Amino acid sequence: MKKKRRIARWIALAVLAAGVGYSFYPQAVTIEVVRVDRGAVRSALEEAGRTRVRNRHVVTAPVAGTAGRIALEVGDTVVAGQTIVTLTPPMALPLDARQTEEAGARVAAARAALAVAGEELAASVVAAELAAAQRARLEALAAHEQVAAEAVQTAVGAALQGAARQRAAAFAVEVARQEVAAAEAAARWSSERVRRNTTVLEVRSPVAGRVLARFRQSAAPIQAGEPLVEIGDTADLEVVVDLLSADAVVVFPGMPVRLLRWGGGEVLDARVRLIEPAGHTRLSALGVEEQRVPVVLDFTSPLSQYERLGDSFRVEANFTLWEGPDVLRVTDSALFRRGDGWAAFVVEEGRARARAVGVGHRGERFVEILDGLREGELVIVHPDDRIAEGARVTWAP
Amino acid sequence: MTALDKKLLRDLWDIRSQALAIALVIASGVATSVMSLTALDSLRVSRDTYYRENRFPDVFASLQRAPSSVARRLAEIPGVDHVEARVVSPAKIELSGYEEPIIAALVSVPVDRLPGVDRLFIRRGRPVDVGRLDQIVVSDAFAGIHGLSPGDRLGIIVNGRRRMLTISGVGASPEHIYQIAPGSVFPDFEAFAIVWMARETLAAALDLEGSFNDVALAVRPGASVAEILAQVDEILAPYGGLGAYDRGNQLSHRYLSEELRQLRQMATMFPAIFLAVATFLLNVVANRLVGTQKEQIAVLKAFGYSTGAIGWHYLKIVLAIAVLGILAGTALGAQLGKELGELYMRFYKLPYLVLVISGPMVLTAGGLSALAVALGTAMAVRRAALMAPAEAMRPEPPARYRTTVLERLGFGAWLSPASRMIARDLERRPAKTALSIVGVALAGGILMMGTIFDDSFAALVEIEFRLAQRDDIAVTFVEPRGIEVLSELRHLPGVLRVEPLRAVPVRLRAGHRSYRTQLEGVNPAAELRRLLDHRHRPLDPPATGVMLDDFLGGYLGVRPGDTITVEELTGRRRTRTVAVAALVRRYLGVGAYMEISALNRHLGEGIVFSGAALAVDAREKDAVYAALRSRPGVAGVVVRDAAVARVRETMGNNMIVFAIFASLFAATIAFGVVYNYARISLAERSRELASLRVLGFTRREISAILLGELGVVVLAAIPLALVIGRALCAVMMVGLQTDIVRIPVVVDRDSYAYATAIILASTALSALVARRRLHELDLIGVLKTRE
Repeated sequence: MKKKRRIARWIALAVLAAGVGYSFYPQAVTIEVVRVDRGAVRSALEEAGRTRVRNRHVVTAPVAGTAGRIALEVGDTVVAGQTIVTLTPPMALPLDARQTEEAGARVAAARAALAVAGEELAASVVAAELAAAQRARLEALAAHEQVAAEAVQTAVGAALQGAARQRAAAFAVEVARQEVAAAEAAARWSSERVRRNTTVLEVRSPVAGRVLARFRQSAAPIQAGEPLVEIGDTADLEVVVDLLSADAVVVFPGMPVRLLRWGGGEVLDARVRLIEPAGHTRLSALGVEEQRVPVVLDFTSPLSQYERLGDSFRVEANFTLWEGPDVLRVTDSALFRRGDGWAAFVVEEGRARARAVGVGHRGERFVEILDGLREGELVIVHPDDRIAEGARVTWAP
Repeated sequence: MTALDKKLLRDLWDIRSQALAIALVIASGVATSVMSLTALDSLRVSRDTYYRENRFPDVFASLQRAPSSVARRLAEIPGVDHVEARVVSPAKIELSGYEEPIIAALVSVPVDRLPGVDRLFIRRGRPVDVGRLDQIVVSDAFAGIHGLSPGDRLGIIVNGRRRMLTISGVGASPEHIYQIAPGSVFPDFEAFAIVWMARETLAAALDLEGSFNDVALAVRPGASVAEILAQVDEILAPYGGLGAYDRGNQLSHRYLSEELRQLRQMATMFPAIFLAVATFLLNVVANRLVGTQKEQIAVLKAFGYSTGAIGWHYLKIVLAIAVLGILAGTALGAQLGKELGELYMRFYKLPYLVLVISGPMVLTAGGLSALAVALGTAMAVRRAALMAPAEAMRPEPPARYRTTVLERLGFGAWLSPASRMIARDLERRPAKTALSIVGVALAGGILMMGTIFDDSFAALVEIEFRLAQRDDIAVTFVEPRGIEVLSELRHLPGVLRVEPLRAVPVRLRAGHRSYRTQLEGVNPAAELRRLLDHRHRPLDPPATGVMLDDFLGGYLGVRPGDTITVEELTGRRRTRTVAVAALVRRYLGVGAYMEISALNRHLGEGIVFSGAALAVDAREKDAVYAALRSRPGVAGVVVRDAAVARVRETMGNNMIVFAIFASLFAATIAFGVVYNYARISLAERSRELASLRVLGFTRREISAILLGELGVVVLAAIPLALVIGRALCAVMMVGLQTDIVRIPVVVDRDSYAYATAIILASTALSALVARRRLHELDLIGVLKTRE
């Protein structure tokens, strides 16, 4: 009896000690787990870009003149050859009262100059006749050797000069006559403000498309080369994305791209067509200089899906750098650095075991696993310093 | 010296070990009280003195920019004593040899005169010299950690430009006692510094020459602060004023006040509970102690002493013990209070400590204990004295003779005679047994109050920083930026994941209650920053509506489905009503949350973000820090792991120091209670046990009876102790809830084990001591019959 009691007492003591000991035993750490599975891993590069009409035509004024009012609005459809605007020659300079009088006076002066030229012509005619007569007389006398040869030559010279001067005077009269006409024309325009119906020039659209921009609207004088409208076919779009130069090196023509967040519901597809050879400097959002390279993409989705997109609309381009449709993968928050490589905590029989993991491509949420983990294993997400090798762990189901 | 006095001295000597135990219990209760209140009062007075000597301002306001002439208009507001217009700015610090990001708040000081408000307290070195405008004064906490001294140089990056400045002095200001970096909840003196610079230098760096973007006012006593706030708002509104606020909303003062309030709660609850328990136990102990003196009381009465004289005599004995305990407790408490005060002074970075020992408190604590003991004594004496002397001198007959419940149930065969004696004795006086069990349980319960801080705090850190916030780095921008900034951050080598953050200061109103806080944007399906419901499960934000912290919801009196008014304090400053969609559980800070794109739509400023949470490859973190430091658009960088570690060190230490003292005192009380129980039981049953010895029982057997009873009571008390302890912890934590931090009530298994172990250890020790006394039983005296 006594022995049984003593044994009972010792058992009770042992149970108590065990209870206390158990309570001091560290509790299992609560964690979150995720399973290693097979699935798609997509390594992507995302950057904002904008659409661009592939062929833009800026219609400019071919000559200086007066452009009429442009009736086209931005967004209007135009056909090839459609008149954009009518150009008329520039108006002449209108003259005020003083200038009118001056013009009149100039006409009178020109007419007087004409009269002067006419008189000079008359004078030269007389001189020429006199010289010719002298010549004839001396030539007749020279036939009888009654004058010196030198005198005959002098007379011949004088006669020829006289004839030339007469012709010059005749031309001078013509010059003076035209100057009268010019002065009269200037004076005439000053007194009449009449728009004469002269030739007009129709500036036509070179292509069919829509008006993307209109640079002027009201009728006004215009210089040669000034832009009038910009026309492009919004159905023929490309996308241009300014990538960091380090990213542009990785991208290649033909790379598939997904276009997101452009406003429509679906994701559009595109392909890289061209990576421009020259970069440019741009200030980043946080204030440092970056080198950016424009990359041009072509749509591969059918037009019906993106016909609501216009020119210079924002899209977000997601370049697929690498895609593995069925690879072993795990959430990236399960991995942590160990030395130069990566590791993860695998849950084995309720304990955490660290294991080195070979990592392949890194996607947005998932990372490709090359070795170290098997499909279906449970790994700890966001492991922290509470978890040591061999620690007991528990998680909410 | 009367005969009674001689008896008093001899009796005291007789019960010296018990007296010591009782005195210890009283001393523990009093010491806890005095210690906490001394530390608290000293802190408070020190803080108030510091505020006064260094001219802590009364009104503060931030604005975009205003010319200096506007400051004169502020000075003309009736009631305003001083106006100090300043230039402030966030900045980054480059410290050679230290890679982690350090952010700073730069504050301008006038160099040609003393500022009217907010004067610096220079600990080492000198203030900025008039002739040397490239000098700075650095906060002493930061300088201490990094070993900086006057003469060292520091790189400061402000407004995108870096300059090297020389430290002329190391100091502090009353406006920055609590230094919290924007985006953090806890002070981190290693990664955040306050830097005071000459106004000219800072204004030039920010292109704010002749202007100011921050102002502090001193108000005449008696003036209406609310009036002044309204007028300041009116004057500063056209300059982008963000709303003036008084001391109550000033960051450092508010946090410090909340801390002191929490401290006050702890300082009153802990001692209150200890004192209550100690008082109760003392009452019981005194009662029983005097009860053992029944025969002597009867003899004295027979001799002719009046009940009153006898009562006074015993009262003197007990009061002597009490006074000893009170004196010891006060002395110990004062000393500990001084050291605790100095610890807190160092922790809160106050420049000095003014020691204040509150007389009334000491008297109250001591008085309560003495009163309890006196009451217990008086009751026992009265009971004993009322009996007829002859009857009193006889040993008490057993109250009822019958079998115990156990025996009736059939377990009689299992019990040895000794066990049967124990069982019958326990059952015979159920009230006494129950009281004993409750007494030990209470003593054990308060043991748990000491350990709860460790567990709860660890749980808080785990929930907040493992479940809710899992980013490695949090970045804030100088100005809100669009989506391109996320792409830029994602491209930094080493950055694995980026989640945007948006936060705007708002004022929430519900009915007549309002609260000023941040409205934060939350990403759906987020990995790094998540909201948790009251069960700590991640909560996806609904598409519309605002979510509130459940503490804030309780404060404003709103529940999901109600509407509240949200008043934007920046930007468009619109006021709109929004529906409350859900309540979330946070333990640090309070806030309001909205799905991030809904927030952007609500604010109408387009898709912009004020910061980002990043997950970073550990190997590349230095490169990431450098990249972030070189970007002028980045205002602040907070590294989470480092911050959490430092939080654990500092805040954890703060509470744990208190908890250690509390545990020690609780253990003392527990030991004292158990020991007294053992000794008093021995005294009460000495006749019976001596009789048993005479009958032939061995010492071992009678010690088994005595200690067995003790053991049964203790074992029964332990589960109750754990339950009581848990309840006490919950009660205490409820009192400690503030809007800055709410500690969850988490008790780990090892806390229960710790309390149990202490009780068992106390029991074992008491048992050993009591056993020794068994050897001194007066066997001969038992054989004599009493006349």
